[in-house]
Amino acid sequence: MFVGGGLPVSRSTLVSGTSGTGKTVFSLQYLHHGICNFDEPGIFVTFEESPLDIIRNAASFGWDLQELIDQNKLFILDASPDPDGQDVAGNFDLSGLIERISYAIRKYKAKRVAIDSITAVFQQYDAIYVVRREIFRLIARLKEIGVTTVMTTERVDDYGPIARYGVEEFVSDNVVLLRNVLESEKRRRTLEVLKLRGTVHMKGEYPFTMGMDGISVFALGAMRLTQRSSNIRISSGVKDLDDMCGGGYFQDSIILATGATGTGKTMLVSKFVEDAYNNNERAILFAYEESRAQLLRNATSWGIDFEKMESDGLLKIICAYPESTGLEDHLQIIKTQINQFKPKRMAIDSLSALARGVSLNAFRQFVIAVTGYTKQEEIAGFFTNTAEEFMGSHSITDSHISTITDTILLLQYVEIKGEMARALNVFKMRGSWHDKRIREFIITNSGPEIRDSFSNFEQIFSGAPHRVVPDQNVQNVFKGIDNN
Amino acid sequence: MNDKKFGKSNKMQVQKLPTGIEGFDDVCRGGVACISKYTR
Repeated sequence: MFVGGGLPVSRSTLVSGTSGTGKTVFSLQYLHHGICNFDEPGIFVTFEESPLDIIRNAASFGWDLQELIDQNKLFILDASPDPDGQDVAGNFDLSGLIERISYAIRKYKAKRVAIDSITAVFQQYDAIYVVRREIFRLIARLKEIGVTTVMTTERVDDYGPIARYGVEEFVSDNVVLLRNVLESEKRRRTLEVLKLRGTVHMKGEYPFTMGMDGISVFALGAMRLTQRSSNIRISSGVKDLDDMCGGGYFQDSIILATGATGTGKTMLVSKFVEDAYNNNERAILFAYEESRAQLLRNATSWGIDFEKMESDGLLKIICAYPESTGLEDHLQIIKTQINQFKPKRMAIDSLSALARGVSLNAFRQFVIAVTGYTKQEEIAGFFTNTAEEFMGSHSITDSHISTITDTILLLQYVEIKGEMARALNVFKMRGSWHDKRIREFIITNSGPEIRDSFSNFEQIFSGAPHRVVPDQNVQNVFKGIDNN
Repeated sequence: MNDKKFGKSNKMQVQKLPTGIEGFDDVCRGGVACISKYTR
Protein backbone atom coordinates (compact mmCIF):
# COMPACT_ATOMS: atom_id res chain seq x y z
CA MET A 1 0.00 0.00 0.00
CA PHE A 2 1.43 3.39 -0.88
CA VAL A 3 0.51 6.97 -1.55
CA GLY A 4 0.65 7.12 -5.29
CA GLY A 5 -1.41 5.54 -7.99
CA GLY A 6 -4.56 3.57 -7.45
CA LEU A 7 -7.86 3.82 -5.64
CA PRO A 8 -8.16 5.64 -2.30
CA VAL A 9 -7.97 3.16 0.57
CA SER A 10 -11.06 2.40 2.67
CA ARG A 11 -13.34 4.22 0.30
CA SER A 12 -15.86 3.22 -2.30
CA THR A 13 -15.34 3.92 -5.96
CA LEU A 14 -18.17 3.92 -8.43
CA VAL A 15 -17.28 2.48 -11.83
CA SER A 16 -19.99 3.47 -14.25
CA GLY A 17 -20.46 2.69 -17.92
CA THR A 18 -22.92 1.57 -20.53
CA SER A 19 -23.41 -2.10 -21.24
CA GLY A 20 -20.23 -3.86 -22.42
CA THR A 21 -17.73 -1.22 -21.36
CA GLY A 22 -15.73 -3.60 -19.14
CA LYS A 23 -17.04 -2.82 -15.66
CA THR A 24 -17.01 -6.43 -14.48
CA VAL A 25 -13.51 -6.98 -15.92
CA PHE A 26 -12.33 -3.83 -14.12
CA SER A 27 -13.60 -5.06 -10.77
CA LEU A 28 -12.25 -8.60 -11.29
CA GLN A 29 -8.83 -7.32 -12.33
CA TYR A 30 -8.76 -5.10 -9.26
CA LEU A 31 -9.47 -8.07 -6.97
CA HIS A 32 -7.19 -10.48 -8.81
CA HIS A 33 -4.25 -8.07 -8.66
CA GLY A 34 -4.74 -7.51 -4.93
CA ILE A 35 -4.80 -11.21 -4.18
CA CYS A 36 -1.93 -12.25 -6.45
CA ASN A 37 0.42 -9.30 -5.97
CA PHE A 38 -0.31 -8.01 -2.46
CA ASP A 39 -1.82 -11.05 -0.76
CA GLU A 40 -4.96 -9.07 -0.04
CA PRO A 41 -8.03 -11.34 -0.01
CA GLY A 42 -11.09 -10.11 -1.84
CA ILE A 43 -14.86 -10.50 -1.88
CA PHE A 44 -16.80 -10.35 -5.14
CA VAL A 45 -20.52 -9.71 -4.69
CA THR A 46 -22.45 -10.52 -7.82
CA PHE A 47 -25.97 -9.29 -8.40
CA GLU A 48 -26.12 -10.23 -12.06
CA GLU A 49 -24.04 -13.13 -13.32
CA SER A 50 -23.77 -16.49 -11.62
CA PRO A 51 -20.43 -17.33 -9.91
CA LEU A 52 -19.81 -20.01 -12.55
CA ASP A 53 -20.16 -17.48 -15.38
CA ILE A 54 -17.80 -15.10 -13.58
CA ILE A 55 -15.17 -17.81 -13.12
CA ARG A 56 -15.46 -18.76 -16.80
CA ASN A 57 -15.20 -15.16 -18.00
CA ALA A 58 -12.18 -14.50 -15.79
CA ALA A 59 -10.47 -17.60 -17.19
CA SER A 60 -10.43 -15.94 -20.63
CA PHE A 61 -7.96 -13.42 -19.17
CA GLY A 62 -5.89 -16.17 -17.57
CA TRP A 63 -7.21 -15.47 -14.07
CA ASP A 64 -7.87 -18.73 -12.26
CA LEU A 65 -10.50 -17.63 -9.77
CA GLN A 66 -11.37 -21.19 -8.75
CA GLU A 67 -7.83 -21.69 -7.50
CA LEU A 68 -8.07 -18.46 -5.47
CA ILE A 69 -11.41 -19.60 -4.06
CA ASP A 70 -9.89 -22.94 -3.07
CA GLN A 71 -7.07 -21.08 -1.32
CA ASN A 72 -9.63 -19.00 0.63
CA LYS A 73 -8.24 -15.85 -0.97
CA LEU A 74 -11.40 -15.04 -2.88
CA PHE A 75 -15.06 -15.43 -2.06
CA ILE A 76 -17.82 -14.90 -4.58
CA LEU A 77 -21.00 -13.93 -2.80
CA ASP A 78 -23.88 -14.92 -5.00
CA ALA A 79 -26.69 -12.37 -4.84
CA SER A 80 -27.80 -12.95 -8.42
CA PRO A 81 -31.55 -13.20 -8.98
CA ASP A 82 -33.30 -16.51 -8.68
CA PRO A 83 -34.06 -17.75 -12.22
CA ASP A 84 -37.51 -18.80 -10.98
CA GLY A 85 -38.27 -15.27 -9.82
CA GLN A 86 -38.92 -14.01 -6.33
CA ASP A 87 -41.89 -12.45 -4.59
CA VAL A 88 -41.46 -9.41 -2.42
CA ALA A 89 -44.26 -8.71 -0.02
CA GLY A 90 -44.40 -6.00 2.61
CA ASN A 91 -41.37 -4.09 3.88
CA PHE A 92 -37.98 -5.40 2.97
CA ASP A 93 -34.39 -4.41 3.46
CA LEU A 94 -30.90 -5.63 2.60
CA SER A 95 -29.91 -6.26 6.20
CA GLY A 96 -29.39 -9.94 5.55
CA LEU A 97 -27.15 -9.26 2.59
CA ILE A 98 -25.19 -6.58 4.42
CA GLU A 99 -24.56 -9.03 7.24
CA ARG A 100 -23.46 -11.74 4.81
CA ILE A 101 -20.99 -9.36 3.17
CA SER A 102 -19.70 -8.17 6.56
CA TYR A 103 -19.29 -11.75 7.73
CA ALA A 104 -17.43 -12.72 4.56
CA ILE A 105 -15.06 -9.75 4.93
CA ARG A 106 -14.26 -10.79 8.51
CA LYS A 107 -13.92 -14.46 7.68
CA TYR A 108 -11.58 -14.00 4.71
CA LYS A 109 -9.84 -10.92 6.20
CA ALA A 110 -10.67 -9.14 2.95
CA LYS A 111 -9.13 -5.82 2.04
CA ARG A 112 -10.80 -5.44 -1.31
CA VAL A 113 -14.47 -5.74 -2.20
CA ALA A 114 -16.15 -5.55 -5.60
CA ILE A 115 -19.91 -5.23 -6.04
CA ASP A 116 -21.23 -5.95 -9.52
CA SER A 117 -23.56 -4.26 -10.13
CA ILE A 118 -25.72 -2.15 -7.89
CA THR A 119 -27.96 -1.28 -10.83
CA ALA A 120 -29.10 -4.89 -10.79
CA VAL A 121 -30.34 -4.46 -7.20
CA PHE A 122 -32.67 -1.72 -8.36
CA GLN A 123 -33.90 -3.87 -11.18
CA GLN A 124 -34.78 -6.68 -8.79
CA TYR A 125 -37.02 -4.56 -6.60
CA ASP A 126 -39.74 -2.02 -7.34
CA ALA A 127 -39.33 0.18 -4.29
CA ILE A 128 -36.44 2.29 -5.57
CA TYR A 129 -36.32 4.60 -2.57
CA VAL A 130 -35.94 1.60 -0.26
CA VAL A 131 -33.12 0.15 -2.38
CA ARG A 132 -31.33 3.50 -2.35
CA ARG A 133 -31.55 3.66 1.40
CA GLU A 134 -30.28 0.11 1.77
CA ILE A 135 -27.35 0.63 -0.59
CA PHE A 136 -26.44 3.72 1.37
CA ARG A 137 -26.40 1.55 4.50
CA LEU A 138 -24.23 -1.04 2.74
CA ILE A 139 -21.68 1.55 1.66
CA ALA A 140 -21.58 3.09 5.11
CA ARG A 141 -20.92 -0.34 6.60
CA LEU A 142 -18.11 -1.10 4.14
CA LYS A 143 -16.48 2.22 4.95
CA GLU A 144 -16.80 1.47 8.65
CA ILE A 145 -15.07 -1.88 8.19
CA GLY A 146 -12.30 -0.17 6.23
CA VAL A 147 -12.33 -2.14 3.00
CA THR A 148 -11.65 -0.54 -0.36
CA THR A 149 -14.65 -1.10 -2.57
CA VAL A 150 -15.32 -0.97 -6.28
CA MET A 151 -18.98 -0.79 -7.20
CA THR A 152 -20.12 -1.01 -10.76
CA THR A 153 -23.23 0.64 -12.08
CA GLU A 154 -24.79 0.98 -15.46
CA ARG A 155 -25.58 4.16 -17.29
CA VAL A 156 -27.76 4.60 -20.34
CA ASP A 157 -25.72 7.09 -22.35
CA ASP A 158 -21.93 7.37 -22.63
CA TYR A 159 -22.18 11.12 -22.15
CA GLY A 160 -25.42 11.29 -20.17
CA PRO A 161 -26.11 11.11 -16.43
CA ILE A 162 -23.40 9.34 -14.42
CA ALA A 163 -25.60 6.44 -13.39
CA ARG A 164 -29.14 5.21 -13.36
CA TYR A 165 -31.34 5.62 -10.27
CA GLY A 166 -29.16 8.46 -8.94
CA VAL A 167 -26.60 6.02 -7.55
CA GLU A 168 -23.82 8.58 -7.72
CA GLU A 169 -25.47 10.40 -4.82
CA PHE A 170 -24.38 7.60 -2.47
CA VAL A 171 -20.94 6.92 -3.86
CA SER A 172 -19.74 10.45 -4.40
CA ASP A 173 -16.16 9.99 -3.17
CA ASN A 174 -14.71 8.51 -6.33
CA VAL A 175 -16.21 8.08 -9.76
CA VAL A 176 -14.62 6.32 -12.74
CA LEU A 177 -16.39 6.36 -16.09
CA LEU A 178 -15.88 3.73 -18.77
CA ARG A 179 -17.03 4.51 -22.29
CA ASN A 180 -17.36 2.52 -25.48
CA VAL A 181 -18.18 5.19 -28.03
CA LEU A 182 -19.06 4.61 -31.66
CA GLU A 183 -16.67 6.68 -33.80
CA SER A 184 -16.71 6.40 -37.58
CA GLU A 185 -18.40 2.98 -37.39
CA LYS A 186 -15.83 1.75 -34.84
CA ARG A 187 -16.03 1.38 -31.10
CA ARG A 188 -13.46 3.22 -29.06
CA ARG A 189 -13.03 2.54 -25.36
CA THR A 190 -12.06 5.36 -23.02
CA LEU A 191 -11.70 5.71 -19.27
CA GLU A 192 -12.17 8.89 -17.27
CA VAL A 193 -11.52 9.46 -13.58
CA LEU A 194 -14.27 11.97 -12.92
CA LYS A 195 -13.68 12.37 -9.24
CA LEU A 196 -11.16 11.15 -6.68
CA ARG A 197 -11.99 12.98 -3.49
CA GLY A 198 -9.14 14.38 -1.45
CA THR A 199 -6.44 13.58 -3.97
CA VAL A 200 -5.21 14.69 -7.35
CA HIS A 201 -5.77 12.73 -10.51
CA MET A 202 -5.44 13.21 -14.24
CA LYS A 203 -8.41 14.80 -15.98
CA GLY A 204 -10.05 13.78 -19.19
CA GLU A 205 -10.60 10.63 -21.19
CA TYR A 206 -7.86 8.08 -21.81
CA PRO A 207 -8.17 5.28 -24.35
CA PHE A 208 -8.02 1.73 -23.11
CA THR A 209 -8.18 -1.77 -24.50
CA MET A 210 -9.31 -5.10 -23.18
CA GLY A 211 -6.68 -7.56 -24.24
CA MET A 212 -5.50 -10.98 -23.16
CA ASP A 213 -4.32 -9.63 -19.81
CA GLY A 214 -7.35 -7.51 -19.02
CA ILE A 215 -7.70 -3.75 -19.18
CA SER A 216 -4.78 -1.57 -20.30
CA VAL A 217 -5.19 2.19 -20.08
CA PHE A 218 -3.03 4.41 -22.27
CA ALA A 219 -2.30 7.19 -19.83
CA LEU A 220 -0.81 9.56 -22.39
CA GLY A 221 -0.58 12.47 -19.98
CA ALA A 222 1.44 10.30 -17.61
CA MET A 223 4.25 10.01 -20.10
CA ARG A 224 7.12 12.22 -19.15
CA LEU A 225 9.71 13.54 -21.53
CA THR A 226 12.61 12.45 -19.40
CA GLN A 227 14.52 10.19 -21.72
CA ARG A 228 18.07 11.28 -22.45
CA SER A 229 18.89 11.11 -26.10
CA SER A 230 21.65 8.81 -27.15
CA ASN A 231 24.56 10.11 -29.20
CA ILE A 232 25.15 6.72 -30.72
CA ARG A 233 24.38 6.57 -34.43
CA ILE A 234 22.90 3.71 -36.37
CA SER A 235 23.00 3.27 -40.10
CA SER A 236 19.98 3.77 -42.32
CA GLY A 237 21.30 0.97 -44.51
CA VAL A 238 22.08 3.52 -47.24
CA LYS A 239 25.60 4.94 -47.04
CA ASP A 240 24.83 8.24 -48.79
CA LEU A 241 21.77 8.80 -46.63
CA ASP A 242 23.89 8.26 -43.51
CA ASP A 243 26.21 10.98 -44.80
CA MET A 244 23.24 13.27 -45.40
CA CYS A 245 22.16 12.73 -41.78
CA GLY A 246 25.59 13.55 -40.41
CA GLY A 247 26.57 9.93 -39.79
CA GLY A 248 23.28 8.05 -39.52
CA TYR A 249 20.16 8.22 -37.39
CA PHE A 250 20.40 8.49 -33.64
CA GLN A 251 20.00 5.15 -31.91
CA ASP A 252 16.75 5.88 -30.05
CA SER A 253 15.20 8.38 -32.41
CA ILE A 254 11.98 8.44 -34.39
CA ILE A 255 12.41 8.76 -38.15
CA LEU A 256 9.58 9.71 -40.46
CA ALA A 257 9.78 9.20 -44.22
CA THR A 258 7.02 11.09 -45.94
CA GLY A 259 6.10 11.08 -49.61
CA ALA A 260 3.54 10.02 -52.17
CA THR A 261 3.01 6.39 -53.01
CA GLY A 262 5.92 4.88 -54.93
CA THR A 263 8.52 7.41 -53.87
CA GLY A 264 10.62 4.80 -52.08
CA LYS A 265 9.43 4.84 -48.49
CA THR A 266 9.09 1.07 -48.18
CA MET A 267 12.55 0.66 -49.69
CA LEU A 268 14.02 2.88 -46.98
CA VAL A 269 12.13 0.81 -44.41
CA SER A 270 13.57 -2.37 -45.93
CA LYS A 271 17.12 -1.02 -45.86
CA PHE A 272 16.61 0.11 -42.26
CA VAL A 273 15.48 -3.39 -41.29
CA GLU A 274 18.23 -5.05 -43.34
CA ASP A 275 20.90 -3.01 -41.56
CA ALA A 276 19.64 -4.33 -38.21
CA TYR A 277 20.06 -7.87 -39.56
CA ASN A 278 23.58 -7.10 -40.80
CA ASN A 279 24.43 -5.97 -37.27
CA ASN A 280 22.89 -9.10 -35.77
CA GLU A 281 20.09 -7.07 -34.20
CA ARG A 282 16.39 -7.79 -34.13
CA ALA A 283 13.91 -5.68 -36.04
CA ILE A 284 10.12 -5.75 -36.23
CA LEU A 285 8.06 -4.47 -39.12
CA PHE A 286 4.35 -3.59 -38.85
CA ALA A 287 2.89 -3.33 -42.34
CA TYR A 288 -0.56 -1.84 -42.85
CA GLU A 289 -0.58 -1.35 -46.60
CA GLU A 290 0.99 -4.46 -48.13
CA SER A 291 0.64 -8.15 -47.49
CA ARG A 292 3.55 -10.24 -46.29
CA ALA A 293 3.95 -11.80 -49.75
CA GLN A 294 4.10 -8.37 -51.39
CA LEU A 295 6.70 -7.17 -48.91
CA LEU A 296 8.86 -10.26 -49.48
CA ARG A 297 8.62 -9.92 -53.26
CA ASN A 298 9.46 -6.22 -53.23
CA ALA A 299 12.36 -6.70 -50.85
CA THR A 300 13.73 -9.50 -53.00
CA SER A 301 13.68 -7.18 -56.02
CA TRP A 302 16.00 -4.87 -54.07
CA GLY A 303 18.28 -7.74 -53.08
CA ILE A 304 16.92 -8.04 -49.54
CA ASP A 305 15.95 -11.49 -48.24
CA PHE A 306 13.27 -10.99 -45.59
CA GLU A 307 12.56 -14.73 -45.38
CA LYS A 308 16.13 -15.51 -44.36
CA MET A 309 16.03 -12.74 -41.76
CA GLU A 310 12.85 -14.24 -40.36
CA SER A 311 14.20 -17.78 -40.33
CA ASP A 312 17.31 -16.50 -38.54
CA GLY A 313 15.04 -15.05 -35.87
CA LEU A 314 16.12 -11.47 -36.44
CA LEU A 315 13.03 -10.16 -38.20
CA LYS A 316 9.35 -10.30 -37.44
CA ILE A 317 6.77 -9.03 -39.90
CA ILE A 318 3.23 -8.28 -38.74
CA CYS A 319 0.76 -7.45 -41.51
CA ALA A 320 -2.77 -6.26 -40.85
CA TYR A 321 -5.43 -4.13 -42.41
CA PRO A 322 -5.79 -0.88 -40.47
CA GLU A 323 -9.53 -1.51 -40.41
CA SER A 324 -9.13 -4.96 -38.83
CA THR A 325 -9.36 -3.51 -35.34
CA GLY A 326 -9.40 -0.24 -33.43
CA LEU A 327 -6.37 2.02 -33.03
CA GLU A 328 -5.98 1.18 -29.36
CA ASP A 329 -5.95 -2.51 -30.16
CA HIS A 330 -3.31 -1.90 -32.84
CA LEU A 331 -1.28 -0.08 -30.20
CA GLN A 332 -1.71 -2.94 -27.78
CA ILE A 333 -0.58 -5.41 -30.44
CA ILE A 334 2.50 -3.28 -31.19
CA LYS A 335 3.38 -3.07 -27.51
CA THR A 336 2.86 -6.79 -26.95
CA GLN A 337 4.90 -7.79 -30.00
CA ILE A 338 7.75 -5.45 -29.05
CA ASN A 339 7.64 -6.71 -25.50
CA GLN A 340 7.88 -10.33 -26.66
CA PHE A 341 10.35 -9.96 -29.56
CA LYS A 342 12.52 -7.28 -27.94
CA PRO A 343 13.78 -5.66 -31.15
CA LYS A 344 16.35 -2.88 -31.41
CA ARG A 345 14.52 -1.35 -34.34
CA MET A 346 10.88 -1.13 -35.32
CA ALA A 347 9.16 0.15 -38.43
CA ILE A 348 5.56 1.04 -39.23
CA ASP A 349 4.67 1.15 -42.92
CA SER A 350 2.63 3.19 -43.10
CA LEU A 351 1.58 5.20 -40.10
CA SER A 352 -0.84 7.25 -42.18
CA ALA A 353 -2.76 4.11 -43.19
CA LEU A 354 -3.84 3.80 -39.57
CA ALA A 355 -5.41 7.26 -39.78
CA ARG A 356 -8.08 5.94 -42.13
CA GLY A 357 -11.54 6.21 -40.65
CA VAL A 358 -10.52 7.46 -37.22
CA SER A 359 -10.81 10.88 -35.69
CA LEU A 360 -7.82 13.20 -35.81
CA ASN A 361 -7.67 13.27 -32.03
CA ALA A 362 -7.67 9.48 -31.75
CA PHE A 363 -4.89 9.24 -34.34
CA ARG A 364 -2.87 11.95 -32.62
CA GLN A 365 -3.16 10.07 -29.32
CA PHE A 366 -2.07 6.87 -31.05
CA VAL A 367 0.98 8.53 -32.58
CA ILE A 368 2.01 10.03 -29.25
CA ALA A 369 1.52 6.70 -27.51
CA VAL A 370 3.45 4.66 -30.05
CA THR A 371 6.34 7.12 -30.25
CA GLY A 372 6.39 7.44 -26.47
CA TYR A 373 6.53 3.68 -26.07
CA THR A 374 9.25 3.34 -28.70
CA LYS A 375 11.40 5.91 -26.92
CA GLN A 376 10.69 4.33 -23.56
CA GLU A 377 11.95 1.00 -24.87
CA GLU A 378 15.00 2.71 -26.44
CA ILE A 379 14.15 1.45 -29.89
CA ALA A 380 14.83 3.23 -33.16
CA GLY A 381 11.47 3.77 -34.84
CA PHE A 382 11.06 4.27 -38.58
CA PHE A 383 7.59 5.39 -39.65
CA THR A 384 6.29 6.21 -43.08
CA ASN A 385 3.62 8.70 -44.03
CA THR A 386 1.91 8.49 -47.40
CA ALA A 387 1.28 11.99 -48.73
CA GLU A 388 -1.84 12.52 -50.77
CA GLU A 389 -0.27 14.82 -53.36
CA PHE A 390 1.97 13.20 -55.95
CA MET A 391 3.72 16.46 -56.74
CA GLY A 392 4.05 19.90 -55.26
CA SER A 393 4.21 20.83 -51.62
CA HIS A 394 2.35 18.69 -49.15
CA SER A 395 1.71 19.10 -45.48
CA ILE A 396 3.65 17.02 -43.03
CA THR A 397 2.23 18.74 -40.03
CA ASP A 398 -1.09 16.90 -39.98
CA SER A 399 -1.84 14.98 -36.82
CA HIS A 400 1.28 16.43 -35.18
CA ILE A 401 3.38 13.58 -36.58
CA SER A 402 6.14 15.91 -37.68
CA THR A 403 6.58 17.58 -34.30
CA ILE A 404 7.22 14.38 -32.38
CA THR A 405 9.65 12.87 -34.85
CA ASP A 406 13.40 13.48 -34.61
CA THR A 407 14.23 13.02 -38.26
CA ILE A 408 12.10 13.77 -41.30
CA LEU A 409 12.94 12.50 -44.77
CA LEU A 410 11.00 14.16 -47.56
CA LEU A 411 10.47 12.13 -50.71
CA GLN A 412 8.95 13.76 -53.76
CA TYR A 413 8.28 13.24 -57.45
CA VAL A 414 9.93 15.80 -59.69
CA GLU A 415 9.26 16.34 -63.37
CA ILE A 416 12.42 16.99 -65.40
CA LYS A 417 12.63 16.87 -69.18
CA GLY A 418 9.38 14.94 -69.46
CA GLU A 419 10.45 12.28 -66.97
CA MET A 420 9.49 11.62 -63.40
CA ALA A 421 12.40 11.57 -61.03
CA ARG A 422 12.42 11.14 -57.26
CA ALA A 423 13.86 13.72 -54.90
CA LEU A 424 15.07 13.15 -51.35
CA ASN A 425 15.76 15.73 -48.68
CA VAL A 426 16.66 15.43 -45.01
CA PHE A 427 14.12 18.01 -43.90
CA LYS A 428 14.81 17.77 -40.20
CA MET A 429 17.46 16.11 -38.07
CA ARG A 430 17.19 16.97 -34.40
CA GLY A 431 20.48 17.61 -32.64
CA SER A 432 22.70 17.11 -35.65
CA TRP A 433 24.11 18.72 -38.73
CA HIS A 434 22.46 17.41 -41.85
CA ASP A 435 22.69 17.87 -45.57
CA LYS A 436 20.24 20.57 -46.70
CA ARG A 437 20.47 19.68 -50.37
CA ILE A 438 17.71 18.10 -52.37
CA ARG A 439 19.20 14.99 -53.94
CA GLU A 440 17.98 12.64 -56.61
CA PHE A 441 16.81 9.32 -55.24
CA ILE A 442 17.08 6.45 -57.70
CA ILE A 443 15.74 2.96 -57.09
CA THR A 444 17.81 0.25 -58.73
CA ASN A 445 17.82 -3.54 -58.59
CA SER A 446 20.58 -3.44 -56.02
CA GLY A 447 18.93 -0.81 -53.85
CA PRO A 448 18.78 2.95 -53.69
CA GLU A 449 21.26 5.44 -55.11
CA ILE A 450 21.51 9.08 -54.15
CA ARG A 451 22.90 11.55 -56.67
CA ASP A 452 23.48 15.28 -57.04
CA SER A 453 21.42 15.65 -60.20
CA PHE A 454 19.45 18.66 -58.93
CA SER A 455 22.35 20.93 -58.04
CA ASN A 456 21.52 23.28 -60.96
CA PHE A 457 17.81 23.35 -60.30
CA GLU A 458 15.58 25.30 -58.00
CA GLN A 459 11.95 25.01 -56.88
CA ILE A 460 12.35 21.24 -57.05
CA PHE A 461 9.70 20.53 -54.44
CA SER A 462 7.15 22.52 -56.40
CA GLY A 463 7.20 19.49 -58.67
CA ALA A 464 8.20 21.56 -61.71
CA PRO A 465 11.78 22.74 -61.16
CA HIS A 466 13.68 24.98 -63.53
CA ARG A 467 17.36 25.29 -64.23
CA VAL A 468 19.26 28.00 -62.42
CA VAL A 469 20.82 30.50 -64.86
CA PRO A 470 24.12 31.80 -63.42
CA ASP A 471 24.12 35.57 -62.85
CA GLN A 472 26.71 37.01 -65.34
CA ASN A 473 27.46 40.06 -63.17
CA VAL A 474 28.32 37.90 -60.18
CA GLN A 475 30.55 35.72 -62.36
CA ASN A 476 32.38 38.83 -63.61
CA VAL A 477 33.01 39.92 -60.02
CA PHE A 478 34.64 36.56 -59.26
CA LYS A 479 36.68 36.77 -62.46
CA GLY A 480 37.90 40.24 -61.36
CA ILE A 481 38.99 38.87 -57.99
CA ASP A 482 40.84 36.01 -59.67
CA ASN A 483 42.63 38.39 -62.08
CA ASN A 484 43.83 40.57 -59.21
CA MET B 1 1.80 24.71 18.72
CA ASN B 2 -1.26 25.38 16.67
CA ASP B 3 0.88 26.30 13.70
CA LYS B 4 2.70 23.05 14.03
CA LYS B 5 -0.53 21.13 14.30
CA PHE B 6 -1.82 22.47 11.02
CA GLY B 7 1.60 22.72 9.41
CA LYS B 8 2.54 21.25 6.10
CA SER B 9 4.01 18.15 7.67
CA ASN B 10 0.63 17.29 9.15
CA LYS B 11 -1.17 17.48 5.83
CA MET B 12 -3.15 14.30 5.39
CA GLN B 13 -2.29 12.24 2.38
CA VAL B 14 -4.74 9.84 0.84
CA GLN B 15 -3.33 6.36 0.64
CA LYS B 16 -4.06 4.51 -2.55
CA LEU B 17 -4.39 0.90 -3.43
CA PRO B 18 -2.79 -0.23 -6.71
CA THR B 19 -5.40 -1.78 -8.97
CA GLY B 20 -3.01 -3.60 -11.28
CA ILE B 21 -4.86 -2.14 -14.24
CA GLU B 22 -2.08 -1.00 -16.57
CA GLY B 23 -2.07 2.77 -16.89
CA PHE B 24 -5.04 3.33 -14.55
CA ASP B 25 -2.91 3.87 -11.48
CA ASP B 26 -0.94 6.48 -13.42
CA VAL B 27 -4.19 8.34 -14.13
CA CYS B 28 -5.07 8.16 -10.42
CA ARG B 29 -1.60 9.31 -9.41
CA GLY B 30 -2.37 12.68 -10.86
CA GLY B 31 1.11 13.86 -11.46
CA VAL B 32 3.35 12.28 -13.97
CA ALA B 33 4.55 8.73 -14.01
CA CYS B 34 8.18 7.99 -14.42
CA ILE B 35 8.02 5.49 -17.22
CA SER B 36 11.09 6.56 -19.11
CA LYS B 37 14.42 4.94 -18.73
CA TYR B 38 17.76 6.58 -19.29
CA THR B 39 20.06 5.54 -22.02
CA ARG B 40 23.77 6.12 -22.11
